[in-house]
Amino acid sequence: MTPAPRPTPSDDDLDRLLARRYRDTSPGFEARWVELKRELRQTPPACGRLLPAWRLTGWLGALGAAAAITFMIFSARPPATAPRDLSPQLTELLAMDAVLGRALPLLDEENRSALLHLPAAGQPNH
Amino acid sequence: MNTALLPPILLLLADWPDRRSESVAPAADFAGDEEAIWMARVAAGDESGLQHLYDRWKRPLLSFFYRSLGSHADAEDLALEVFVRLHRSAADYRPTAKFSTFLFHVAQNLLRNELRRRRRKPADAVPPELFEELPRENEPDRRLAELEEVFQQALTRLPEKHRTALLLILQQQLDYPAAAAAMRLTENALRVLVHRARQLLKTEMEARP
Repeated sequence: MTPAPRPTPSDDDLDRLLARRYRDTSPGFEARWVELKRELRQTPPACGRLLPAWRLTGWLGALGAAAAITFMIFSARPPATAPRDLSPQLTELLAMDAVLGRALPLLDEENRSALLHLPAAGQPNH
Repeated sequence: MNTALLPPILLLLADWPDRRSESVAPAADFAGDEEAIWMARVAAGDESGLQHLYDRWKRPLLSFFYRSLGSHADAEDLALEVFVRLHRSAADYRPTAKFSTFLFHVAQNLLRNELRRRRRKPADAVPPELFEELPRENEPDRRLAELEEVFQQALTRLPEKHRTALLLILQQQLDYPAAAAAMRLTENALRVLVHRARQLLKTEMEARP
């Protein structure tokens, strides 16, 4: 046998039920409050901060992000190679580069065309 | 200036500063509220301020938490925790809204934390011996007393948002702007929520034996 469905509570019933409140607190609760108050007395409320908590959190977050980015940039650089002894061939190549490197501007297109159009005077006749 | 011939957009621009000043309501000042003064005393280290707040708000908070959780013990824990939070935040408190708005915003945050904790560690069934704490003032009919248990169970099954909306408006008697501010809702959204919550509560009460 199934139980009969409950009667629909009226709006008035709901309002009265919702409006109910505690008439009083229990002695246990009051005792806990006295104890809590004693603890709070020993920890005075914190002084007002210069910055509100949310703003402080924002600044700290921004600083942390900046530090993280800086760290990533510098940690991504290849480690510096320790100077080593060079082979004679490489030493010669570097010496040639030091001398000829100064002539690199001559390879620019403008300079090259200027050189090509120099008068041929002084050149040996074939 | 003869504005009869101006297009509407220019009319809007012409009196833009006036319209803007109308749309921004002046910030309400609640610094003179009794609770704001008590909070200032708490911040100054005057213990009587916290005692005043406790005497004024302990029963509303207990009632709110009890109806929300269905547990007398948890309601007491959370109500006391609210006063710890008040003590901690007294120095930063700015009376830019009604104190009840601030208080129940704190209470709702604690309630949500507790509900999350319960989801992780479900509690045992709530023993029904706690109804003695509720007032039974001159009720000639036993109808409400009979409905009480069903009501509390149905209320506990409501979504937290619906339940809190009902309790702030009908139990705590907050006005709609204050309750909406506490719940971070618009006033219209809160009205809709309260209406739906009533319907849902009725349905829940009918559904369960």
